[in-house]
Amino acid sequence: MQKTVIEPNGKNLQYWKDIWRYKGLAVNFAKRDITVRYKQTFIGLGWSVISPVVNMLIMSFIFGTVAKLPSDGSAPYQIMVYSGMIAWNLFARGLTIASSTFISNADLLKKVYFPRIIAPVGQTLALLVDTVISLGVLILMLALFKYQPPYERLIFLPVFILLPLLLGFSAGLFLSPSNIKHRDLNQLIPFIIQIGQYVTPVVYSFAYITASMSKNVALIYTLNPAAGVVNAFKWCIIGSNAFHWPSFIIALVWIALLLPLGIIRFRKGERTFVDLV
Amino acid sequence: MISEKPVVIKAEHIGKKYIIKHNREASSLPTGKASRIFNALKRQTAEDFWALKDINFEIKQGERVGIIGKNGAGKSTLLKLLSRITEPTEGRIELFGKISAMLEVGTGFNPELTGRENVYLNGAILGMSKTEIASKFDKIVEFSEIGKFIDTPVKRYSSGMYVRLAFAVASHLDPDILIIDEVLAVGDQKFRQKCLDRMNEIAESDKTIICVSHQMNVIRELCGRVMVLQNGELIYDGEPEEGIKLYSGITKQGNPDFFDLGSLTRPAVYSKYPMHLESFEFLNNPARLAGEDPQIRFALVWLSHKNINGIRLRMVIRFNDDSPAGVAVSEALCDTEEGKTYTKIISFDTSCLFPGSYKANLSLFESDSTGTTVYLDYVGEAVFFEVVELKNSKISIHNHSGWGHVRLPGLEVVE
Repeated sequence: MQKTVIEPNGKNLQYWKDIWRYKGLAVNFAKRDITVRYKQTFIGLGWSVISPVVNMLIMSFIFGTVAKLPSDGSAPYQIMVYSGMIAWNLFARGLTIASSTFISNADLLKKVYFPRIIAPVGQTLALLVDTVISLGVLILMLALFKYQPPYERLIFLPVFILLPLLLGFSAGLFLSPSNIKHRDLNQLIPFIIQIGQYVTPVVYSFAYITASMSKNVALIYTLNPAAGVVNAFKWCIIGSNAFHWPSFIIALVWIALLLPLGIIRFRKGERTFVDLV
Repeated sequence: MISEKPVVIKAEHIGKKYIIKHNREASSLPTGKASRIFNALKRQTAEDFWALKDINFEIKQGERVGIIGKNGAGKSTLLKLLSRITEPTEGRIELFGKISAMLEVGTGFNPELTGRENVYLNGAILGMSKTEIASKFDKIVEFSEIGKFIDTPVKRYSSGMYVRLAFAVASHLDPDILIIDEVLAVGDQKFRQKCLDRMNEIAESDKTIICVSHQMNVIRELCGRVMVLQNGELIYDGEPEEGIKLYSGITKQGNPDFFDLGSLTRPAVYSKYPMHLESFEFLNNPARLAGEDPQIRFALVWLSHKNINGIRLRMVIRFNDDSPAGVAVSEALCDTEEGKTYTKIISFDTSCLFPGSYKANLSLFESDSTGTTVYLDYVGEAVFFEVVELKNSKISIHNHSGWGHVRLPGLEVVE
């Protein structure tokens, strides 16, 4: 018979076994999110495609055509922007999902028990499905522009999809308990994401921007962990990009810190958030 | 034998503290510009509120335990702790076996999804595996009587259909320990009976059930043990009847069997009446609440301003939703003289009334020589009482709106 012990600040090694037991629920949540999002829409899953594509076209026009910023190497500006956006989106949505989980799922969490992390994990699975669709669009674009990605680097693609997600998710977990007591985080995070999209080399070339900065500014700029993961993803798609180790290492350090701290803070908040939310 | 069964729930020194923030009233803040700004930032004070204090109990496998208490006694908090929704501040709980909690019907239902999709989602949320849901799916749909609507989005369901489907899923859970919080207070009468039957079915098997309810007849039917909570403390743990009696005593504040009629304002048209009802006091109501004796006795006191003979009492009984239940009339109480106060003990047979909350209008009257009723005093909605199911009768849920409030004499077979 399964034994469960409930006590304040319990060690709960049970928790990790529980997560595996409830894995089906995460899948259920993912299915629910995807189904609900697209029921009753005419274009259905098409929205997953149209929105980022339009965004990419606008950005390419402003930064590439009007501002005449150079792209990464010989890659078409649109390809660079779209690749950057895929990586950025994984980070931004991972951050949003994890940081708001106690609030957006409050009704459910107040009535039933399951390991609380299952809810954001489920939503993240839905995010991965969206990402796969975006990759499909990327493939179409590559064919359209007749641009060949470096095929040998594509093996790393799954890793460099996971990393921005992990970065955003960990940061989100870290912030999630604060969000309950101080609802301004709910305003702050979309704001940071909006600004972050421009501070991170998503819609322009990292190489070009850092070259036109003074060394000190470039250093500070590179401390942004999102830069590292976006660069790594772009490297998989754009053959002429060299792998930028400094930003990548910085990103890894951030993840190595945020992931355990995020989980610890999340677990702590999870125990009693029901009393506060 | 219960004593040989293993312990499935063990609670030791459980305490749960909440921090309640108060916004201070403006009047208590010092005035003056500087202190006003300072106080605006610190307008809240915090207070520790212990919802549960030092709760200890052990529950063995197969026991059916009812938890009762006033609103705010800590019942829902205890259930939340047992179902792991929140953590205790102090103490330790050990649970053996799979627990499922029904704290609400339809947890996690999404209006955009179809009934079928929601059954799978809701089942998964409640801890059922996909194969388990699949194997019970047909039974769930049959129980809910949803029929062909199972593949329609739930937002199109009537509230009755919604609740039936939600309960159907929850009632097909198969945990070792089942925790139920007042979920029977849903649906129409026919369905509520079905739910009660299903609860009985679950209770027959070797499952451990913990349930919270305000309906004493449900507690009596389902539970072999009762725990009474008051102000966060466990004040009784044992035989259901004792617990229910204790709880009934608590839920009446002061002396709730006493009703002051004298100070009630009469409708203007009755203000010059020759009689003045003073008070009404139930003499044996607590016994009635425990389901022992349908005959209630009460003491009626009134003041007479006139000499009148053959005064009678009339009670018009209404259900708590104002629908009329019936009327009870007495024979002549006594003859009165001006200026004197009279007390009479009167008996009232409530066995014809179905369980529920009732209120009564009282009037004193006389029939004059032509047979016309002359009112001598009247108080409206003066007296309140509760009728519960008699101890030995079979549980049934009564459809007050469809069947009225009175149990007519039974049908007898003549041939």
